[in-house]
Amino acid sequence: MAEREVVIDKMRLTYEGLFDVVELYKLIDRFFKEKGYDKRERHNSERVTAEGKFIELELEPWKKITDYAMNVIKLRIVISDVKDVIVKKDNVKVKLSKGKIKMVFDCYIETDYEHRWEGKPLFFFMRTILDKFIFKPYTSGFKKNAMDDCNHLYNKIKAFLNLYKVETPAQTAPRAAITTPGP
Amino acid sequence: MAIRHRYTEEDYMDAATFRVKFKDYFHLKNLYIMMHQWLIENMYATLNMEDFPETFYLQRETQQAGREIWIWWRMEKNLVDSSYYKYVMDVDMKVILLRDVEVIHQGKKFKTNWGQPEIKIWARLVGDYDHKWREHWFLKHINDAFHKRIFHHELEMHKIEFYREAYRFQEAIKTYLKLKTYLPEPELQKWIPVRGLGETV
Amino acid sequence: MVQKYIYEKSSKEPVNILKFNGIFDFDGLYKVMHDWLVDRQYYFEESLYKHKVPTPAGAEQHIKWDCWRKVNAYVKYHINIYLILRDMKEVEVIKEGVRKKLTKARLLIVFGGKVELDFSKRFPHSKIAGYLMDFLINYIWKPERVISWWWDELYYRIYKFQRVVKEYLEMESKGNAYYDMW
Repeated sequence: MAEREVVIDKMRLTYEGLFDVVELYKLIDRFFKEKGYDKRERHNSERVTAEGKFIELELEPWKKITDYAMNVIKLRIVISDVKDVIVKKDNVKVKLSKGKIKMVFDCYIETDYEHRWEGKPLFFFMRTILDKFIFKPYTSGFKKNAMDDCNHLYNKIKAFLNLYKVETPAQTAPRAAITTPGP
Repeated sequence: MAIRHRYTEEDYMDAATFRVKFKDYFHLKNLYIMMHQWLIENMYATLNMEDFPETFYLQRETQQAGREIWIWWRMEKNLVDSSYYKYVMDVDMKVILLRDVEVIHQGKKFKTNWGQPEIKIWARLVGDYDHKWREHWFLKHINDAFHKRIFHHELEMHKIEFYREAYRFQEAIKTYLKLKTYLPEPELQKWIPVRGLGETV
Repeated sequence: MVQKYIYEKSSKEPVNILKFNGIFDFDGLYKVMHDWLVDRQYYFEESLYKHKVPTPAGAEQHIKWDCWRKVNAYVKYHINIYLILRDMKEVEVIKEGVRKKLTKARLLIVFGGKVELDFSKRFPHSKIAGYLMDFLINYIWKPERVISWWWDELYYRIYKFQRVVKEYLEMESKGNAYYDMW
């Protein structure tokens, strides 16, 4: 039976200003392709109004690391009030977009995605005990791998959007004891 | 014979419980469609209408009080095909004082509804849903210790994920009904018109 | 007893959901989508076309396409497309100096697919043949090994189809880095 464990929980990136939406999407798509992730675009929504465009994307690509574990990165992008502007850069007119971007990154590790340890509840119990106490070095290695990929993407997007002074949350796994769930 | 509640012998954790109550003009059919679509997009149901878990539908009409509609949806989601836990979302929609009205919206007459819908949602994380653990000769003795100690962290994590999804659904309903929302990312992507009245321009 | 093997990776969830709210050329989009499928030798079946005018905001159309193609004597690909248009109105716009009749609507497209094995029912209808087929699929080929190759091809081809639709609608998130997959 498969099990999904959260590695990065709701890491947010917000930006307001100039950017190229098409290039941003291509950057993300190319990143996942280069890293060996399989494409999965859950929803893609676009609304065109006189005030601007409203775009929402939900991507959830996955990558099989071994026959037991796979990385899943869930990326939700909400781009609002997008308007086309023409900016002069080095005496060259460049067509860009101006708007607000909100991104939410989640990273998971899915183990036993081939459902080999299912069918009998005893197998599930054995698998949980082995994962938690005996194979912990391997599972923590998988988690680190997934976290590195997600943080790499985050930094790449940040660099693309040219953010220098943004306050970002810690790029680590969530704390063990979660008492008050946030939004 | 005593009536057994469907959760009487179940091991469940309450992830989220809330209700949204409203009394004003709204389009009931579009609200129904919006909720149905949200559930399909978030994998609680499929596009196949025959499999949609609408377990109860009641409609009553009276001259004085208008129409009364009760709708029960029993949604289930097993994200990773787990044999131990699943997400169960019970949606109860009760609409009273419902009547058909006409409103002027963007210069055109629209047929809509006036009434008092109340949407109650219970989001529960059900463990050992197929009762295999409690019937196993060995696991039935450690089931309690397992889900309260060994697997507790994972179940808590799933409970939080489910809590967030349930409140995203609430945000979608409140966005449709034009009520105050608080989540940092909007739901419904401004794709569905507010209160079901489309744009005429 | 031999059962029909439908390997449906996306039986619970569609491959992709595309939503667009704005002005677009629906007639052109319809033709482009139809031509894409027919050019790739898919048998085109329009199983549902529903039109109604529920509100003054516009018409509503539901269109269902069930297209299939034989890959070889054993495997068949199915692509299921579900188009829903709401608040549909015809508008006249001037684009590049030319007057055009376009459609303003809320468009929802659901892309789905499935791989069907032994569609021609070559395995004889007997218990032994059924067990042999079960053994072949579950132990020799294995759903996560050989059969997933076919599903993989169909999956990425559906994404190529989705890219064509996004480019026609001039969506901002057009582009497909996986264009060279299959």
